[in-house]
Amino acid sequence: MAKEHIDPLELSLTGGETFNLVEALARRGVSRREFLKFCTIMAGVLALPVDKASRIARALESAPRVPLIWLELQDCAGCTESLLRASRPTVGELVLDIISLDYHETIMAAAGKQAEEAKAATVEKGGHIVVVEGSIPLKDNGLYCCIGGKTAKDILFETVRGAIAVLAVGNCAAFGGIPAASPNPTDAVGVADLVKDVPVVNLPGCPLNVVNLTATVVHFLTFGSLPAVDHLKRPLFAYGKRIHDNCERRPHFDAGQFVEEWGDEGHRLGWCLYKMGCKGPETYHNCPTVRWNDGTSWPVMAGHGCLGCSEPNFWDTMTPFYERLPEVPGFGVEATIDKIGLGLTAVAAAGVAAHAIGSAVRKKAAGASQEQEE
Amino acid sequence: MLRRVYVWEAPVRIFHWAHVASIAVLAFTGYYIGDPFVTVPDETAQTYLMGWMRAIHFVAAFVFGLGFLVRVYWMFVGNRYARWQDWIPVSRERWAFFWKQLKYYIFLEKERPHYMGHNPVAGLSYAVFGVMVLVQGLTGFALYAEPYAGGFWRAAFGWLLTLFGNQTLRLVHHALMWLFAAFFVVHLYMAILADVEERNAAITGIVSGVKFDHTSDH
Ligand code: HEM
Ligand code: HEM
Ligand code: SF4
Repeated sequence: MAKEHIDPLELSLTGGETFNLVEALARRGVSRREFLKFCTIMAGVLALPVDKASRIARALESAPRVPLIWLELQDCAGCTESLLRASRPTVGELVLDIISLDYHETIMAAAGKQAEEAKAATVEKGGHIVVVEGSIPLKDNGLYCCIGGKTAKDILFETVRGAIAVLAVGNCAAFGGIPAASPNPTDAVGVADLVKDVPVVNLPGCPLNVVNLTATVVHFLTFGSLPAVDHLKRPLFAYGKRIHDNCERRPHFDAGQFVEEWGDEGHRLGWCLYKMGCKGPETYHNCPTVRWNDGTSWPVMAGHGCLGCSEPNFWDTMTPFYERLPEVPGFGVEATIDKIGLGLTAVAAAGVAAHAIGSAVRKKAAGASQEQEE
Repeated sequence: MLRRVYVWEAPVRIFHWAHVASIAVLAFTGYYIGDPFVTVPDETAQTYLMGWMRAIHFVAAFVFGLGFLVRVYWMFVGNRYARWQDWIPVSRERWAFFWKQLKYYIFLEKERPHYMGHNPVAGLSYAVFGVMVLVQGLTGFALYAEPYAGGFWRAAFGWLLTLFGNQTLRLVHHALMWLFAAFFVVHLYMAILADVEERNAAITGIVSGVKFDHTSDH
């Protein structure tokens, strides 16, 4: 048992002052019981056995402070909104706040020069985590997103220097997101397209689900490593399974019970949204299991199909959002693949019929000329 | 003189009819998967229509895939009518016959050329068919790999998902179904035409393997 316990202090986390998390939480009105509940939830999100919850609790209690800098680049602040959405701060947010959060433009009290100096000091010390929200425009030397006179690209490179990891939150920071949608007027890219020397973890979603950010940080503090990721650098605990395979409407899919129209009988009965263009069958995310807003609901539960927001270029590849299949390039909007295909088959049948007539005529002509010869 | 010639060996015939059957099943179940036109209003726990459609689609898909592999293998070990050169014209002579046959089909030539195996136009249509099988198989198995985060299917076909994305693969897979339908219409007509015009029992030939030869000099 003792052997299994890795003291997080053994990790070479620079700039780590230790402090009593439980006490700090208590000061903000979070009981130890609530804290342990949070640790159990984290174990669940990370797909760990429940008994790992106590290990997480131990690790967090004695965790060093890992400074976290949250950058907003070419974004809509939707992921920040997602972080703040609750009517009261959740335990997870408080943990994140106490353990980490040093610099966040939208929610910090400090402003201007003061704030910039604090950030510079954190970067100077190194060993920090950078959270990036928003894409990075590259066109025209990146002038489409400048903050305090610096381009997003420069700010990004300045901030990730000496960092332990970069967490690219939301589809924009991960893959370019909506700014990168065709025709991508600002040449927007994701963090991993630029940052090569610091490990990048992508936490896409539109917006990010904060549970997954918290769990990634908790994983890091507990095990001293970043979680295992897929080929798109997304943690497997959150993006390893398909929406469609965990969806509560899946029995209706298998049964053959589909919503045909918004508000119809099937929609009221909670049937499958496949025919309404649900992209759950091609989207990897843990929405059905962790849900949103403290586990209240998620889009499909609320009766709306999945848009595939955790997948690269979803704005281009998952559209039209309310159709099952994409439009056929080169044909009109109304021309579905079935109309085109049926037309093709009809043309083939017509051609065959015409050829049959031609062949009959030829045979008759050949017969007639033969008769003449005889 | 009428001579019986054993043209289509068993693996060729088995491949042919396995494909006819599996494609019919795949097109029907596939169409349902693409556009579930029947909704079952019964108790959810008692129904499994889409589940069965998918399960049958996958079983037929394996018949389809294995059948094709057998046929490709037979291209190298089968008789001279089964060779890959019968599908893909490479020799100059075959190309010459090809144009002759094509001219006959578009009424520019009066006499129907005679072949024991595939005529070169039909042969080339099977090469096109082969490409269709390949594309349909690759897109199909890529979609099949989708629920798996790792393992064999993901390793073998997951790269297609990364390269093209699910929606494109689905569209291509769906479009190919219609190409198979169009192929079927033309192919069936050509087979009947050959049977009637050559009086060589082309159609029973693909069942029994035996075709008739009217030209005694062959
Ligand atoms: C002639 C052969 C085939 C035809 C005509 C055919 C037809 C179709 C069609 C029309 C769809 C629906 C596509 C959509 O609109 O989303 C489909 C889905 C699918 N097909 Fe095929 N298919 C064929 C062969 C195969 C093969 C060889 C595989 C390999 C396993 C395969 C696997 C699949 C899968 C996995 C799906 C998606 C099922 C789902 O999303 O639940 N198909 N097929
Ligand atoms: C979807 C349905 C079908 C497909 C995909 C298909 C495909 C093929 C292929 C690939 C070949 C070449 C055989 C080889 O070299 O191994 C072939 C030959 C043949 N098929 Fe079909 N076939 C279909 C349906 C039919 C049907 C329904 C008939 C008869 C009524 C038929 C009659 C023939 C005949 C007679 C040949 C030999 C033609 C020749 O000498 O070139 N096929 N078919
Ligand atoms: S609602 Fe969407 S994710 Fe859920 S079963 Fe239907 S298609 Fe799949």
